[in-house]
Amino acid sequence: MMALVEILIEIYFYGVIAYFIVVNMSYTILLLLSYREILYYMRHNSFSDYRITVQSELTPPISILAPAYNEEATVVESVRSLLKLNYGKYEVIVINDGSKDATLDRLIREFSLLPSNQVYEPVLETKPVRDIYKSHKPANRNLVVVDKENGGKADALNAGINVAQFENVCAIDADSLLEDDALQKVMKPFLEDDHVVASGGIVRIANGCEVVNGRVTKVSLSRKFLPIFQVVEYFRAFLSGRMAWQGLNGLLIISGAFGMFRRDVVIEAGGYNHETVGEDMELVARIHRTKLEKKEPYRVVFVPDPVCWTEAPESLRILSRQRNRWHRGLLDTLLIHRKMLFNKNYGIVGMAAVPYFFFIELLGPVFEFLGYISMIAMLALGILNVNMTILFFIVALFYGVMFSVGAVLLEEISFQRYPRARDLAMLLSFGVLENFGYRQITLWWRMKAFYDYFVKGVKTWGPMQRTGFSRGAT
Amino acid sequence: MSETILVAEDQQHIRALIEYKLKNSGYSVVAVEDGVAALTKARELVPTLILLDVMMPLMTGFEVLSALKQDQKTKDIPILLVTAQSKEEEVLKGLELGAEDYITKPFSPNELAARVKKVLLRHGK
Amino acid sequence: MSFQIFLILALAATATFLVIVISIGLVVHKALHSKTIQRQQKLYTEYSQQVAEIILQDLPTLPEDSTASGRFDQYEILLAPLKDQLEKMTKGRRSLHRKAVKLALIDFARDVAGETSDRLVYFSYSLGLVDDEIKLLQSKNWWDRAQAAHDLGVLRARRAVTPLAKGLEDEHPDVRIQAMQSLVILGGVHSLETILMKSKNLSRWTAIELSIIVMRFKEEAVPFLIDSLQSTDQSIVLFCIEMLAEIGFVSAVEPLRTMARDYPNTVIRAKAIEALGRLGDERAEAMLLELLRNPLPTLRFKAIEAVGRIGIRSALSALETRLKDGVLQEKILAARSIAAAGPDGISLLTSLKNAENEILRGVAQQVLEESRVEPSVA
Repeated sequence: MMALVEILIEIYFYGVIAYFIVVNMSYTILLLLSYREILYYMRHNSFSDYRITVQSELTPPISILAPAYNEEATVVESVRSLLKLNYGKYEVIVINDGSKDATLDRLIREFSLLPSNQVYEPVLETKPVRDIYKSHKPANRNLVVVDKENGGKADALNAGINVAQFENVCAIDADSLLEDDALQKVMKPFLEDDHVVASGGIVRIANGCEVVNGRVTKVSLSRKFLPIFQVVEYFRAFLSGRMAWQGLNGLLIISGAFGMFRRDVVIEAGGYNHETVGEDMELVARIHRTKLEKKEPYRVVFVPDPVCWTEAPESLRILSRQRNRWHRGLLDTLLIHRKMLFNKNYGIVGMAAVPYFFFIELLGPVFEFLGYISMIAMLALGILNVNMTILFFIVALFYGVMFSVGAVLLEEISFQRYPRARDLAMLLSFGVLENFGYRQITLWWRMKAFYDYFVKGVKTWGPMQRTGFSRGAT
Repeated sequence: MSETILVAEDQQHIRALIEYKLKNSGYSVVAVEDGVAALTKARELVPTLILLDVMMPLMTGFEVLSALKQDQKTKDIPILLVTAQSKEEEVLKGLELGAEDYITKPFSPNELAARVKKVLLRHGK
Repeated sequence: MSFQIFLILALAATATFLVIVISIGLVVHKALHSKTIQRQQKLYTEYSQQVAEIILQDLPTLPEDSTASGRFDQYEILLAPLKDQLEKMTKGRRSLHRKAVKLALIDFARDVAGETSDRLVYFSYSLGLVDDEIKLLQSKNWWDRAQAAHDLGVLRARRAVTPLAKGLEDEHPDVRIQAMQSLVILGGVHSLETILMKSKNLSRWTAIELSIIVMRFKEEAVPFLIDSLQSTDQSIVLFCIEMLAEIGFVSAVEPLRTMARDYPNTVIRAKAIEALGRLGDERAEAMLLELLRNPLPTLRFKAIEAVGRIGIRSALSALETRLKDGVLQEKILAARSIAAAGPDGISLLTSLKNAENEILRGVAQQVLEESRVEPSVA
């Protein structure tokens, strides 16, 4: 009996260590790949003068899609700043997703909107569109407002895609702020390579920054703890995660807050899926799948400096809801596309990206959670090797810190948006601090997402969530 | 003698070049590197002439120009604009706002000095 | 058991240790790097002062009959102190200082014209910087090649024309773009001949960069664009058509008409039809009317748009057919062109506002609405 337990414990330990090594190897590889990609991007970008190229007549027009749900307080300001973006020709399509407040009235009044008879082909199925509004004022002629019955963010985006006139559509959260060159920078990959079908921009956290006239004028860190933890997280996710995956053409996520797509490709893939919370990731996964199944060449790219600033949650309650939703979205997307897992017909996506997201991003919290549980159980049974456990924790901590430091360094060699050394030191120390508490809290939220998904069956955004203009970032 | 010329130009080497050239031509020169500083200095010193770059951080040359023209104290100071490339609209906008003359980059330093001299003569200085 | 695990953990710890060492290494590297940058900045400031002095120093006027070499002798004397200074340095230091001098020269060259700029050009030759840059055009790092291509243009190094022309065929697009821009600085509008001949497979981005160059010359570029309509490279032909339409010069109508009529490639034919519409020349009208009945949708759509742009009244009945028979996109295009034909077109659309077909009705309403908005826009 005793021997059996000992063997089991041994197997368990080996399992833990094997997983640990796989995870950290993956992170290391991603970090190194990102380093290479960022270096290339920095060099490549230094030869473009966006102030000159934007004036060209050849710059293709863009349809911007901004879904809105119960946003009466901010919608006018958001739309006004969207109409002022620095880009040649574009239209702004605001989709009022059956708001219960005065969102639509505010828009109509502020921009002198009148019902319009725009005829279009509803290629994607959506909840009924009540009316389309346009302005008769020359200054607002790029604005189109689609008023439809409530159907969720994905449904609203699909309605926007139907109405969109131009070849490229750009989905954004209207409460996030785009930097001046942002549109040109995400557009550029499409122009350099006809195979590019989607490109996503980096999302940064605006808390603590100075914002004047809808523009971030001074970058600095928030004074509150929670946003700083998220800044470090975002660095890891964007700079060392997405940057690396785009180099391998295995980028599975384009942020719903800022992503550009070829309209025909989105339609070909079937548009946004309105039955999932992770509609942004699900769409990208489906685009990969569609293109790979048709064996057509394509590329999904990530551009690390068209900056989109977003306000991060400052309360644990809202943050927990956001993380819960993200994790349910990830889970849902991977389940929908489980066919790609370890399927070599799907190339790098099937053999690397999906397995990574499945075993490391999705199940990571589960394994970690089980680790804590079994540790407690073994401690209770008196079979825990305390020294070993402490040693293991120290090693794990070192790795955790290392990857945060690595991500901050990527920022430091490239964009250096945080000019003060103090901010940099703060970021590095928060990379250490997050391992004591913050990491465990997010772990708990993500575990709860499994419970909500499988036991309670919550697959949608949830009643208390706003659909459009979400505060979320992924 | 010594007419004071205020030079507002954000690029360090060009600032140094203009400063050097004008000093050589016998003017006393004050140089600043952004729009806000240009405005403050102009109000403080009331120089004989201002050389204003259009593309500057904090406040563009145009903004400085219109602010100067609205101020009783500074509205009579002749202003020479320095614009990048020969963009017709930019030049026209500058002249409309009340600039005396303009110089487009790339420019010849000798020509710059000659124009400064001409503008000062025209204003009887 | 515990020994094995200990071993693995020890390995992990070693790895962690190494990784941390690397990251500390990076930080140190970063600090050193910023120090180098600081030093470079200081040198740059020093040399830009020095260069400013020698490019602005007044020279005695030369006699009327003196040759260019007389001028150059004067320049050489101006440069002598700087040259001496560099000569005395050790090799490593010299390369650092030369780099600073180069940056200063390039920055001045970008913004300075006239005799002052002649001096800068002479200095960069005399210091051997031009030859260095030409050598860099062969570098195995694309970014070095692109930078060199860029710098050679700014330094107005005519000696580099041939190697730069080779750069037009470089494997990296950034090198190609920089080579184009520099060639135009060096050779003016005539370099378009080489550029259009040697460039292949323009991406849309490269086309944008090149279009900015072409639009600087406008009419002067037209002969080169017309010549390159013969190119075998589709992207070049498309680019030339686009530019000819954009510039809007009449001598382009004839060749474009030939292309619109019987060019073997549909994409190019469609582009030529579009261009004819933009040029708005009546010589194309008969052919466009005929194209309204072309079985290929791409060509037909372009013809519908072109007819609308020119505003041909005799096209009304053909357009009405397209409005009634076409798919939604074609209906909208046809309706817009009908509206553009003037009062007759508007009254035709008004009569369709009550048509039985729901889509037709909608299209007519939408286009009428648009044509009401348009005047206030303009």
